[in-house]
Amino acid sequence: MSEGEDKEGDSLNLLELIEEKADNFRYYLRLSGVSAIARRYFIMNAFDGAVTILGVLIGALIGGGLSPRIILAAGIGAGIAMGVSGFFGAYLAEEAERSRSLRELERAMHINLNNSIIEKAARVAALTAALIDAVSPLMAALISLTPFMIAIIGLISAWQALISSIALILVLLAVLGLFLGKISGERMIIYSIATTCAGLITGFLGLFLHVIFSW
Amino acid sequence: MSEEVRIKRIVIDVLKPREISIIDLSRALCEAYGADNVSIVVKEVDAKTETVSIVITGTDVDYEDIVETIDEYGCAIRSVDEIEVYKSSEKGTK
Repeated sequence: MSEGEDKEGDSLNLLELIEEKADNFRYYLRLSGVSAIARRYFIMNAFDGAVTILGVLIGALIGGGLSPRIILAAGIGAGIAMGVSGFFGAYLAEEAERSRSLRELERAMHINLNNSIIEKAARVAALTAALIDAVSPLMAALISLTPFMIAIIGLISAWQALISSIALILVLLAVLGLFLGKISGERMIIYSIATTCAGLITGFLGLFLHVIFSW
Repeated sequence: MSEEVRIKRIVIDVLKPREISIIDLSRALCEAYGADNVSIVVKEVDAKTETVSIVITGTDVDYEDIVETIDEYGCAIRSVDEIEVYKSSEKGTK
């Protein structure tokens, strides 16, 4: 066999291996039923991320420091903190829950389930939930902060960035609500209004902060 | 000419977690060496487990391979209920 054919065979084997791993991964996800949990985590934490950035913006506005640099740094810092806390929180909680149900199953079956597909699926589920829990708030924070990234380049002013950022957050919250409505299969608008209201409530509570600070 | 005893049909009683579907389990068992046909019947359903009867037929069913797959899927063999073997003069290709 020539060297070229050899290399082609190797890449084919690699492709087959990747395909096999992807199939296993999909099977583990299906077996562990993590998709529904992951969906929940995604929405809950993206929601957290967006509302937190709204809080940072209102805080900066009341504090009088509307510097795009500081807002961006504080916002990304909060996003990273939510990501790290999300990862560890979700991983440890999922791992604890799943290892408890695994031990219960082991007791019911009188066998050791280590290295079985069920145990592997539980590990994959905990890790997937943790990754989604980590990425979703960070992603929501970064999307919400996009206007301030543009402001740093100097294309828009800090005020324009603030207004577009708040608008972006409200749109993001509305989209998350629509997504929730789609999952429930009904009342998409109601869910969307409810999530947007959470943003508006944050804004109103921010006004109280303003009253306290101006005292 | 050396002759080899091979398994033609085996019926095993297995306890499996409810999460594992019999469709996935039967597919995995049918991929075992020498298995041509697999049928599974659910006999009993509990809160977390199911007792199933698995019938595997083929020209040279590899019992070790079957046990390995059953372990991998987190199932436990409770008993071997039926077995049918035959003598073959052909050499196995395993």
